[in-house]
Amino acid sequence: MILHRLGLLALVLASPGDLHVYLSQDGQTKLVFGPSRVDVQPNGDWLLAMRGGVEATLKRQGLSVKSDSATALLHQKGQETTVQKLHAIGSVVIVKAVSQKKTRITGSSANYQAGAREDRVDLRGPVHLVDMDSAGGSLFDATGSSGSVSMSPSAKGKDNPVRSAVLHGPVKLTLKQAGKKGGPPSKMVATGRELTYNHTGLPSVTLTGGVVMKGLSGPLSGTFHADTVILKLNEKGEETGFEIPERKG
Amino acid sequence: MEQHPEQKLNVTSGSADIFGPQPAHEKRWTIHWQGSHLLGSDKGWSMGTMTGVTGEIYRDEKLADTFRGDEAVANHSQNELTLSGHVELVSADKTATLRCDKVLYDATKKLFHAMGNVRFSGRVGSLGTFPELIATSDLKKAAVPELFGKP
Repeated sequence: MILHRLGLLALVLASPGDLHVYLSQDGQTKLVFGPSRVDVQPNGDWLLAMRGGVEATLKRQGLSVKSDSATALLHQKGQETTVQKLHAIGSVVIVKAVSQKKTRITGSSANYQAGAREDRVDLRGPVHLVDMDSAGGSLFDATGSSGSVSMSPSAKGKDNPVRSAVLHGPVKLTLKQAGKKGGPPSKMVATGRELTYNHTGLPSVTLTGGVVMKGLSGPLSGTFHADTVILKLNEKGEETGFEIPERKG
Repeated sequence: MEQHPEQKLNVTSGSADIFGPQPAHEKRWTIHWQGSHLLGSDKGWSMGTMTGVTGEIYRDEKLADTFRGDEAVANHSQNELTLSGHVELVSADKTATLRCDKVLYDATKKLFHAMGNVRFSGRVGSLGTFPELIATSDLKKAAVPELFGKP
């Protein structure tokens, strides 16, 4: 009996606050949240402020965002409803998917802006970006204290979820290193002041500012120092070569 | 002094324009009803519950929104109108609609206090359901009570 009552008490204490749902006119956007406020703009757009834990699902963009609170600008153009801007605050987790490929980004706050050709997210840290291949394996794994990410605006096509990213330091990059003669890949860790990731073709990473690379095995085992390093990766995210640009002047 | 028992007189459809006090005397709402009754007492006759109501809410002498509901009760001394049963409010520019079980309109504060299965919708989609929602009379701003008027 006492256990039963304790169980009921736990249930009451654990029950979440009222959750509310926004569903766009075209059914492509769903937002789930606690308390909220809406301001209708003169053109009929909505500025929706949400608290109490927010979960946003943007099907057309292949984007899901979770955060403690958020403000969204919802815009109607023809038959399409778009989230033009989303400012998410607190424990932000963004997952962007295109076809089978996914990227997971976390930060303490994020400013998302939808664009016709690309979407952009500006993040405050600590920021963690993991770009995954279609099998869910990590292609690229980096952390920074802030950054910005350029993404494909659609959930469909052959595009990569993240086209490019810039992380500001201190930054830390964890990469797979291609194994020798078909052997298993090993791990490499690199740190620096700034990192630029490009994934419009074969992925590449540029690290600048007091770069330290630590290869745990393979051709780059040991520690390596440089001002700037450009790393070339293959489709599996394995480091296949690097370049150290000559110092100018 | 002779006491008169309370009397109830059923009346058919009608409509009324409600104005605020002098000197502003601004138009507050217009209401149309399909059925109603008048309550008579020592103090005279007053309007009881109106059924099958439609009407318009005014803000600064301009149409703010239209409304409909199963029933309405007006409290002129408090400048309040209560609508209940399948309540629907539509903003004059048709950018927002509020549906609920019951709404209290405070003409002094120019605010709606919606209660029960509240749903707010517009061109971009719909939002709900809330047990309570506060909205401005033009339906340009709406929020749960704890967030209304907060930055």
